[in-house]
Amino acid sequence: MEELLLFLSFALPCAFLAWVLPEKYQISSVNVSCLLFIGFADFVSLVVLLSSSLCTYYLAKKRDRFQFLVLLAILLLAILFACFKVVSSMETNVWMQSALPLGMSYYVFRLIHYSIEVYKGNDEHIPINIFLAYMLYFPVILVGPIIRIGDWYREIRRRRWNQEMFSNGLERILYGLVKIVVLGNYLFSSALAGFVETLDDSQIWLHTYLDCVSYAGNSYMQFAGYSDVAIGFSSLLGIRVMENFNYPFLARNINDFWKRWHISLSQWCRDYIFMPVSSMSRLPWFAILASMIVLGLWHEISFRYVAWAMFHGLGIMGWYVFNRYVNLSLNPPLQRAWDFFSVLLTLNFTIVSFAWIKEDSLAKSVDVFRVLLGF
Amino acid sequence: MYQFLFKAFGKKTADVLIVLWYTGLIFLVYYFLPAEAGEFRYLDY
Repeated sequence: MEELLLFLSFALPCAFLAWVLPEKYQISSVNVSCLLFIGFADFVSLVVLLSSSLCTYYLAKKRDRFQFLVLLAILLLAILFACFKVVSSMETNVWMQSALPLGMSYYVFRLIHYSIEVYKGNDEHIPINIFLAYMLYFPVILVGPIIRIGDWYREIRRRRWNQEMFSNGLERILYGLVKIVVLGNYLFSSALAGFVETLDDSQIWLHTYLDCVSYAGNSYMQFAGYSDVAIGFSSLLGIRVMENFNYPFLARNINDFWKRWHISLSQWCRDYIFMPVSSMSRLPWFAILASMIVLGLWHEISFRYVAWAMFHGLGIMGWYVFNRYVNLSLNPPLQRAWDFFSVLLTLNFTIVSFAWIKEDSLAKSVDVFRVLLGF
Repeated sequence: MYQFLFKAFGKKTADVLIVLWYTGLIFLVYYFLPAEAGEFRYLDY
């Protein structure tokens, strides 16, 4: 919460300056605000962000003569990301934990996206000032979305003052704060969790299930809320960024769920893991599992996130098989009933999947599943 | 939200209701701000 308040205390003056200053300084003021924010919050994060961005840019710039340097950039970014993620999973060393760069999970994937696009021959002539403006784009620096440089640059070029967009941005930030503070922090974390604690041992199934609901609900409200704040802040600056959530708990199947939950990350995995793995291996199931494992490891390098990712991967494969071999032709009332059942089934699948990650160990996660399945 | 209120109640009522809506939300955020922060793993440090 302190980070959010610090973020907003830098963001609101930044939004003011972005319109008051002469036009040629407006985007630069956003970048300077970002530098000041990160430098104030954690100087090491600033050093890592700038050095990784500059190294990636200059390695990618050599694409015409030394194509392998772009691949080297991607490999170094993946190693850097993995090292910090492994460090973050160690809870014993406080000093090493404090060296974790702010927003790294998001900007590393933006850098990898940029490197791959340069390798493919796109975006290779973007000047360094535009590239740095993209990497230091303040609204998305902490919690995404993982924006694409092409889309962002197009928005920058057609940026104009729009009163409706500005007021929608303020509204969006308010809705984000409501999700984080009221629905996430209070309703799901305090109120529901408090109720769950009052249940006695004879209601172990309900206790376990509502615990999963509490965790899933809080995760969604917190993440969607922070995304709303980021998207709203970007709207204040006159720049549209992609949506990150689209009512994921109304998904009719697990494939639909991943088109609605953390959209920027799932699209990144689709474009840079699923598509190339699928085209090289000709094995869609292998590509699905590879994408989901990368998606899981993005959150944390641990067995429980791999288990969570594979659980979802198996769900996606199960849905593909069902969709391919079962053709339901139902009349409208039955179709509506089937749609309702599908939403409930998907909702419970995703709620229960959080059991893999909400517990401290895989053994405890298995215990949760045993309770839920009645063993 | 304003578009919904405008279509449902007309401009004058919508103007009043939207102010009440935003004021209510701001109050809710202020009131629940001290609530214990839920676990949020996606915010890197």
